[in-house]
Amino acid sequence: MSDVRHTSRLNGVSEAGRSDAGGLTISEKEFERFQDFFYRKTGIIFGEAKRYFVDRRLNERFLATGHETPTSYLQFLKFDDTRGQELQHLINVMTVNETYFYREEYQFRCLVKSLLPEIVAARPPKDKRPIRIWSLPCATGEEPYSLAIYMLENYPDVDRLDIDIVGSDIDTQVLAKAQAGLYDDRSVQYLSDAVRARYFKTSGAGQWQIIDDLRSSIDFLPVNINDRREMRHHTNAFDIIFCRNLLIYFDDLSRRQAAEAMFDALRPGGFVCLGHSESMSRISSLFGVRKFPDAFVYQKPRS
Amino acid sequence: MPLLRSPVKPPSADREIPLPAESGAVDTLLQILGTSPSAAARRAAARELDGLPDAARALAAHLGHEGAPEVREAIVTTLIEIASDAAVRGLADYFGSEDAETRNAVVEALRQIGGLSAPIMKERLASSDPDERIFAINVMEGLDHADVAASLRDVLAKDPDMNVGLAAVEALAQIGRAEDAAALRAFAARFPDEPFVGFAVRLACERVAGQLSS
Repeated sequence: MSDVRHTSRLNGVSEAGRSDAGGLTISEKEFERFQDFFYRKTGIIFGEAKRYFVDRRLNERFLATGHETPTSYLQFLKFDDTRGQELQHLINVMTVNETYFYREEYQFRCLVKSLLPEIVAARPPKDKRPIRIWSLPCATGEEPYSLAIYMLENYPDVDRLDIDIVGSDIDTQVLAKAQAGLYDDRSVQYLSDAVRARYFKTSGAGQWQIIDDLRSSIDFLPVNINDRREMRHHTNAFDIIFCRNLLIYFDDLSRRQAAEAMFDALRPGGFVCLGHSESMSRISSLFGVRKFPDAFVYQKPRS
Repeated sequence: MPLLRSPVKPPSADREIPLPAESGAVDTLLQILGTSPSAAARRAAARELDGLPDAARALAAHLGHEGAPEVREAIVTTLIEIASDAAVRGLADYFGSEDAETRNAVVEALRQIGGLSAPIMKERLASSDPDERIFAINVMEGLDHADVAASLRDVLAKDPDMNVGLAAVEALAQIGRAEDAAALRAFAARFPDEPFVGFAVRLACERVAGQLSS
């Protein structure tokens, strides 16, 4: 999961001229201008507690791009980064990714016991499209691979149905890691030995790599959920979206936009699974709430 | 491995829906919004209007006769994104709606628009309709704007309708500071025979007492 851990607007916390993050000093005004720019591009807002982290990451980018003042870097981002390459580098360093296999497993139980059977039952027999599941954000891939493994282990109909899993994230570096499918002991600690043996190769040095068959069965695509132009490509395309622990880092408007985007990306009757501390009801009235034995899930109306 | 990997299809954008950058897009999108029998097309049109502030007035006007909830939601989101004077006024015109869901959505949207709503809400405090004044106060309660508390104190001092005043009491209980206590007590003094006013003001004064002056 791409945990972009930013919580609230910055309220002028640090005195101008400090440089305790190392490198160039970023003034309050410069920081506010940067914050405004980054928010408009990504919907992400930095909290007060993140100032040191943000200053450090910005300084990494000043150094990498040869800019000698924060203002010149921001000008470059705004006016000269026409292909958005530097913006993507910046997004990559500003997002923090931390997750593990089978995180919040009860939702995977809900998937195989309730969501998939309902989706299959509601489909007209002539509908031969694959069932599509979107892991968004997928970070370094633990969630989409967990979805695949959990279904392969626990959903008897998995052999009978076409199921397509797509993993997306705003951060292209984590997507490359997801595609590589290489993990450490901590990431796989909640998987049984049998599951590890079936779906991973190991070098024996605390490194676990997803087997090639499984790696090649999942699509990884860069997506910014709040970029309407990008999201248009995914209209009416998914049956289930796992969007866990992302909305909590957005402000009200970005959350609302993300809810609109997920609504449009779902097929009628499709489901959204949010993180355990998140609630769609506080964001949007677009979705109904469904209480299944294992989890609360949000559903796009069928008509 | 039974899981399928299907290539992502190229954009299958519904070409009946023009992109905002296309010439004449506002008129075409508004026409789709006003006439298409497909809720999905109307919703897509409403969302595409977000980069087109000229559409705010017409978009807001459509909200009142749109039947599909997902299209209404799209209209409200787009008006929040446009966040112009026309968008705020268009949303505020639904304070008088018979539909509670629309009124609630509008109050929430105006709060999300933020400071730009404040001067227009202040204007609405002069409405002859007490309900409209109450909704304006409900919006103001959710705004982080310097003038809000002063406007609410003004309501407490002058508004002839007790219920409007009580809405201001409730709002100040949430966002007020110690300096608002005098205005709250003066409001209670205007309605000495109404026990609930005294009760609400006492509670609000307790709430604001702990808040430092601005």
